[in-house]
Amino acid sequence: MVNAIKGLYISCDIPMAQFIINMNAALPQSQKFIIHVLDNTHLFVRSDVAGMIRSAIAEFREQNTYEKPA
Amino acid sequence: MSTSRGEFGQPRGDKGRTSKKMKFSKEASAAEDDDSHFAEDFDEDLRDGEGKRRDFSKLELKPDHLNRPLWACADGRIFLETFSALYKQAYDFLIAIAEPVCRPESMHEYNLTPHSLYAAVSVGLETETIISVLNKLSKTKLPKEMIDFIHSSTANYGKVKLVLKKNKYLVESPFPEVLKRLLQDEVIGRARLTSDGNHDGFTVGKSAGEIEGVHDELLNEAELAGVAEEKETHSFEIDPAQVENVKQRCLPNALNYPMLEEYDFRNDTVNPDLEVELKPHAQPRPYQEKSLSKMFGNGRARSGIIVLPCGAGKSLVGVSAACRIRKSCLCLATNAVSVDQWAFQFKLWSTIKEEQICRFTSDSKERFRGNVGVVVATYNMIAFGGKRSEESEKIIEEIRNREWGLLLMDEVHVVPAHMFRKVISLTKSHCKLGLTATLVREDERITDLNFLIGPKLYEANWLDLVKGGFIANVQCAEVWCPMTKEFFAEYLKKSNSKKKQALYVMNPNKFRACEFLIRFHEQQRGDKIIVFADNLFALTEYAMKLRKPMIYGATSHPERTKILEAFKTSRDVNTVFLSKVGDNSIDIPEANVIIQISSHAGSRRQEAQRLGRILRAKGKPQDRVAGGKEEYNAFFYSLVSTDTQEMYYSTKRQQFLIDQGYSFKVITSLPPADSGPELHYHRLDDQLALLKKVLTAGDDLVGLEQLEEDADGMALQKARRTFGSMSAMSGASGMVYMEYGTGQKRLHGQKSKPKDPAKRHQLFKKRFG
Repeated sequence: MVNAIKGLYISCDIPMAQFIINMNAALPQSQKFIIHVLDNTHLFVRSDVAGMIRSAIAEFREQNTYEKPA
Repeated sequence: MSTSRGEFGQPRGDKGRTSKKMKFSKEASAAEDDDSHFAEDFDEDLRDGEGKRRDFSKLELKPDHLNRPLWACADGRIFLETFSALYKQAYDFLIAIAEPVCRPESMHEYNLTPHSLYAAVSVGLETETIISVLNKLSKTKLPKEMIDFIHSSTANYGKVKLVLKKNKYLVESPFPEVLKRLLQDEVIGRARLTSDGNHDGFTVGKSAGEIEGVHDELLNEAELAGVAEEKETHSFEIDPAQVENVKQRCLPNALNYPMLEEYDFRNDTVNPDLEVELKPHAQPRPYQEKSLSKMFGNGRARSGIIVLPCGAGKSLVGVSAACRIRKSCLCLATNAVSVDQWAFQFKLWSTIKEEQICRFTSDSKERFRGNVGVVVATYNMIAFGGKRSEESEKIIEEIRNREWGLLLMDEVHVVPAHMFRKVISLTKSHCKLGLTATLVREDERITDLNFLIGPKLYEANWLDLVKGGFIANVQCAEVWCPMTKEFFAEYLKKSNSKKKQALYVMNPNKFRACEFLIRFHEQQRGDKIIVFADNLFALTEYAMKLRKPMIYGATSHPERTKILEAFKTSRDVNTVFLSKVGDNSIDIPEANVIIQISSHAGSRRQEAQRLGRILRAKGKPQDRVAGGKEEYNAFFYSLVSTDTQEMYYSTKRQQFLIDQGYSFKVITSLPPADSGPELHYHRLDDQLALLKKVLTAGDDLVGLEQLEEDADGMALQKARRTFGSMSAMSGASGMVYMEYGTGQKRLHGQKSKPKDPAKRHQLFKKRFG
């Protein structure tokens, strides 16, 4: 029997994939969104988290560029 | 515009800061309403062209605006087009009246400030000249605000002079009413010495009496008329110890009668002449001539600061100034090595005799012979407050009692202000000249320099010097190294927050990029390379892996000399690894490539000083690759791990150089994709082994190297704790003037030496004096 999951296919560079994985790991079990880590640069995630990931990455990059690290 | 921050604005750095502030204030509730208003206000003000105050579309263009080189805005900012035919003339004029903010290739930004106008007047420009020339050069009609500003800032300049005559400090002015106004001030009134034997017909003793009576006003006016005809000057004497306070009271933010300090050395018959001339081979370059002409503009010597980049020949300017004044000269440097260098420079460029120059450091205390000469000393030696040996006490006494024609101060940006005060109050000098390469201003401390030494007389444009071939043409590049998967995963873990720095510095991709660059420059171009790393752990790892010599704080002096000698002469040693000990004091003119693998947070000065290591103009050695004139002859690489905090620091650090007109090229593909196992850390297990090493090393090991003389480090550590203050946000707070304790290190080394010489055993007393 075929089991189909609707999701989002993410393609990014190596560090960002790690960032998303790290984000996922920090969440409680019920909110985890990664369905499969396909390889170093590709992830398969729940379809409703696109916005969340985008904004988290944007904030992270913003921090690295403009904010003085504590 | 006249806030101290705006004045010396570093627009980019500020933006970073304010955007942070913005975030804070948004998070904050209404309780901090005031604060958030301020922050937003500020942000708006800074965003170019967006704030209402920055809308200048209503300015009227002159019909022939195409031929005129600059835009003058009502808020005091001036933009200069460097491609204009009138650029050279306009530049010389602007640099005299305004503070350079940013000088990229085709458009410069300047800022009119009270201090810059003060400097303009002190080099002899008059209010009306400033306005009319500015009007001639401007594309638009001069805004009324700007004219008013120039008027109000310059009206009182040059009315009061501070003169040193026969060992007495006199405040001089052709306008007795100005002197009277000054005397009404409490500080100045107290500083006044009444027992002066003034030979002036109009003594101020009289005018002091007049203050009490009202009926004297008429008399005053009559006298004023007389003054105008005879051009008499009136003066009163002040206490030498109070000179600094008096000067400060006279600055624009207080009484607004800034004092000019001039020294009429040609007519000084009291002090003996020093028979010294420049040797014929000492040919000052055009910009050195120009800076000297600013100093000796009217046949007298003015006090002030000259700013020239590293390697552009500051010492020749200093020696030339001494040769022109031809009086006794006291030259101060930051450490013993530079003292030796200065003594050498004096002998190299001038006809000074061996016995006329002496060095005064903790190691070599040479007595002066004769009644005139040059003394080279360190700031520490002069300002030292504790007990001295008998010998140095004598020398100090002699320095104190002498009247110096010129006080020459090297690297004025690093010396702490309190030390300056001490030096200046101890020594009586007619004229002071400060020299520096990086007058980076993080705070209002620049005003200290303004009244302690004098206005900035000249600041060279780095790019013009590059074009003239006087300093090396440097290609600056920022190499972006992506983090590897494993390193970045560790970097993101919260538990590793203390190791973040070690992780991004030891990023294997960075290592490979560094190795690739070293190989390329060593093998393809035959260059000499310095690799800088502030992080000791990284320094040792890199140097061991690549089998290159390294120098850091703990390296002994003989070993350092040996390594540097090998680097300079041997064909086999082409790369040397330096920790931050190499930032300032180590002179390696041979090097022409710098690779920076780790750096000290956001220190702009460190970046500029490091670049200075390779700025000395490079000839065309025969062993370089053939192929005619090269576009660049020096290279500055900064390796940055992307997606980490390093990105922020790197942007911040580059600001000074960008303001000087350098541009950083971003390189993303190093090492090239086809490079394989010939570079280290190609295999995953090697990378993992390295990662393990980084993670298991103690926190203290992977941290920064702590040097005793590490001024930047101390300042930055401090900044971290005083989180919240403006200068702390800038990431380089207080570094301009932090203690530069080369002397301290020595003291630590000799712990056995008891502090009180009285308790010393006879035997040692003899030895250590």
